[in-house]
Amino acid sequence: MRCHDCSARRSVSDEGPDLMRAWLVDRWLALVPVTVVVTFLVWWWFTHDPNAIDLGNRFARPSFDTPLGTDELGRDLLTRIIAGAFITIGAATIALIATAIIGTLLGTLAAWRGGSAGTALMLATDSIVAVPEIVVALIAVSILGTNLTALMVAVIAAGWLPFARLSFEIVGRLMASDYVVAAQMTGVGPGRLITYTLLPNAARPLIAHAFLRFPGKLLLLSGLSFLGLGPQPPTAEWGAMLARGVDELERHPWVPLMPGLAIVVTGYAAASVGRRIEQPIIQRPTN
Amino acid sequence: MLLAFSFFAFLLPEFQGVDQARATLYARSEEAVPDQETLDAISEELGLDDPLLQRYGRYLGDVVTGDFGDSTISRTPVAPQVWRATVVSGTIVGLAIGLAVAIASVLGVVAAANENRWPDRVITAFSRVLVAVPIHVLTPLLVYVVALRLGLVPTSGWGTAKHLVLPVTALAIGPIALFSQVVRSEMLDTLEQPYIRTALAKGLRRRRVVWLHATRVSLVGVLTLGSLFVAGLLGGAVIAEVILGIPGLGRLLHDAVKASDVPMFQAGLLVAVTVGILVGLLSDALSRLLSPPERER
Repeated sequence: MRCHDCSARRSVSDEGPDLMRAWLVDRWLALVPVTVVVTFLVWWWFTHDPNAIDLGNRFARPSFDTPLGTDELGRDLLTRIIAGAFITIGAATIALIATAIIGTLLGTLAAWRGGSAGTALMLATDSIVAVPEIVVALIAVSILGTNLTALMVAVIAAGWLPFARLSFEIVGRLMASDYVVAAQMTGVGPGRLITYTLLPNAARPLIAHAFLRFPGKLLLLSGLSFLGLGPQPPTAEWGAMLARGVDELERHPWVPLMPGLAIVVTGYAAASVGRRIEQPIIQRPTN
Repeated sequence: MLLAFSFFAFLLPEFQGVDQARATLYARSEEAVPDQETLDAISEELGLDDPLLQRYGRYLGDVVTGDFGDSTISRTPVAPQVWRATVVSGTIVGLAIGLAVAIASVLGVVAAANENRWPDRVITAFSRVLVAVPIHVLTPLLVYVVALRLGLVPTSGWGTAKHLVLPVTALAIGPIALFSQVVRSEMLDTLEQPYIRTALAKGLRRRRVVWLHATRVSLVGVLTLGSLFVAGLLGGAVIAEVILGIPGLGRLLHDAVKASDVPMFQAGLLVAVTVGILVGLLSDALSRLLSPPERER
């Protein structure tokens, strides 16, 4: 209650624009250190090889030469974390986009056709909801083997359901709306209807949902990889790095700590972005 | 649905490209130098040349009578092993759910009752960070702190009550973080309702009103989210069991995938999926019973 009051007072007073400007300047100033850090990371990445082995320098503590220390083969952890960012975040992003597209298409088609197609989809989603994603992913891995592509297919196979369900609900609601009925009556074909009318209107909640799902994808991917069911050594994938580092937890804690932190920080950041996007839409995730 | 899945499980070896005659031969005898004659004989015996549907019918008959075949690695019947593993995982997951619901309900109610004051801030901040900590980061951390540094419990294994501590804690923390937020927002919604204001206006103590309604809110919440929780916990159990060396269903599946032990994997999958579907249906039915708006739909 108190908060409503003060925000209302602030927007009415004349200091509003000033505050706004100060806030913007703050944000832009924050970009300076960010740019410096990013530049440093890029430079570091270009000048180091993530798989370069230096047996004379095993388990080096974090220092000036090796900012995050080295692992059991003397490989520089900072370089491997950066290389791993491309692999882990990249694979999770691609898997997420593919899941969203496949799920949305299936859900939209089912809602558009209605009838038995819709019933079948809802039956499938209702019953599979309680089957762990990791079990679905295990099936995919057992068929495709252990490599990065198989891992991504596994994550995609495990994750399309929520998107199908959400798009089914949204498009189902849209199908009953006046303007869709009007469009159909004026003779708009199904392809046009789906691409120009249904999908654009369903896009926003689906995109918010995608951001909220990203941490889950990241965790599933690195989790499977952690179990040794993903890309094989020496690939610098965060989950795999963490798994190898765990053995050294007692004597060389920074070896597992760095990839672990990388996973947590990335997941937390993505979840925060998702919360921001979701907020104005006032809609809870459906499952 | 289950039938469809059992057909899929039956077909798995075809997808995986495992030669069942070879696998069976290996399962039976040590000297695994297969010659064509023996392979043919085994194919004949297993009926691998019969039409697909006939073989599926036979498989289904076996499964229904509790015969899941022999493991191609340990050469022993699969069914009792899967059963034991299921009991182990069931114990851990059950305890974790109980613990999570209890702690999360209290945290959620405390946060809601103190909206935007420090207890709420602390609880919300913690739960937001913890949601992003995956089980494969959390479990090694717990092992390090609780088992290695403090030496309170063994690092891995199974059998005594002390072995339960790490897996149950590791599994419960994620749901606690998530569920306390759900309880918090549901409680806030409830506290805005007219009947709460009426109750307060009538002179009931605020504390009493809050806790009375908290029970119902958290019950409904846990049931609507129940299937999701069980799915998440079973998934987390795979990783936690592997790290902690616990002979549960998750580790069984993981080992079976790695060793391409087909009968074991098929059986484990069937059990995991069946449990998942049953829990989903059950929690759906219960939440419909308990929450009036759902019933009207």
